[in-house]
Amino acid sequence: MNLPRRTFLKQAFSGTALAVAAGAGLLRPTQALARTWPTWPAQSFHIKHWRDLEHSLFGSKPVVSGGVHLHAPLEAENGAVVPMVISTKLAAPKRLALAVDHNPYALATLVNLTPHALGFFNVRIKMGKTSRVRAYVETADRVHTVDRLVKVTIGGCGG
Amino acid sequence: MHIATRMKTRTQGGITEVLVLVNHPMDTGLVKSPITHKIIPAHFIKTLTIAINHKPAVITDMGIAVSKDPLIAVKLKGAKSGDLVSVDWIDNEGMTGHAETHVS
Repeated sequence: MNLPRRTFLKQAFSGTALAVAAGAGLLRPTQALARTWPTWPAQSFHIKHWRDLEHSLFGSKPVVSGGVHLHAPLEAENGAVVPMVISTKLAAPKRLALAVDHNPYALATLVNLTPHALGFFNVRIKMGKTSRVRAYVETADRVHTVDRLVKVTIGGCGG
Repeated sequence: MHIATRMKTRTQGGITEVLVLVNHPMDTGLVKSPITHKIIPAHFIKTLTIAINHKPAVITDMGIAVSKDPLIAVKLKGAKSGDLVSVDWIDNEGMTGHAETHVS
């Protein structure tokens, strides 16, 4: 097949451009990291009740009260944005979790920590209505928990 | 759609606080649009990773309960001046975002 010269040049050029773009793309840290990201725990994020969630996340590890601090407002005017701070002074925390009893799905966020990180996490969450919020810190042999009741004036499900 | 990702660090007494802000809609998939009366499809960040010198330090899995335009703060230890702190996220539609900064 004899392509007209102009068309051939165009095609050759766009092909090269694509190859260059793909090559550059592969070197970007976003995609490099994306390949090593652990899979999102879909099952945990679809659990409705916090007790089932505890069991699913931590299995038979003993859950004890205290050792973790949850800083949450007593009353949230706007349920769409409720600031939460989890902190702990426990040595070597492995995972932090934040759950809301009366949300459609209990688990809000699950944080995996490495030894580079301190036991601290600050996030803003949505709350559909007044509910107990639970913070968890998982260490090598047990799970520490604390809960706070947060009153919500305007629900955040309407986002 | 472009989604902006911003990051800031602040170091004090050997502890580096990392602040991340992503302008993401975080749609739950449970809400109807007041205009079209149709469900707005879920669109939310699933995993957000904060790394130091390309090594993951904090890996956060999120559900639909995280607020619109997530603002996240974590604390890292042992970061030195000049270290590269970066954040990468991926959402349920496969969109990704990235930001990085050096510890001052």
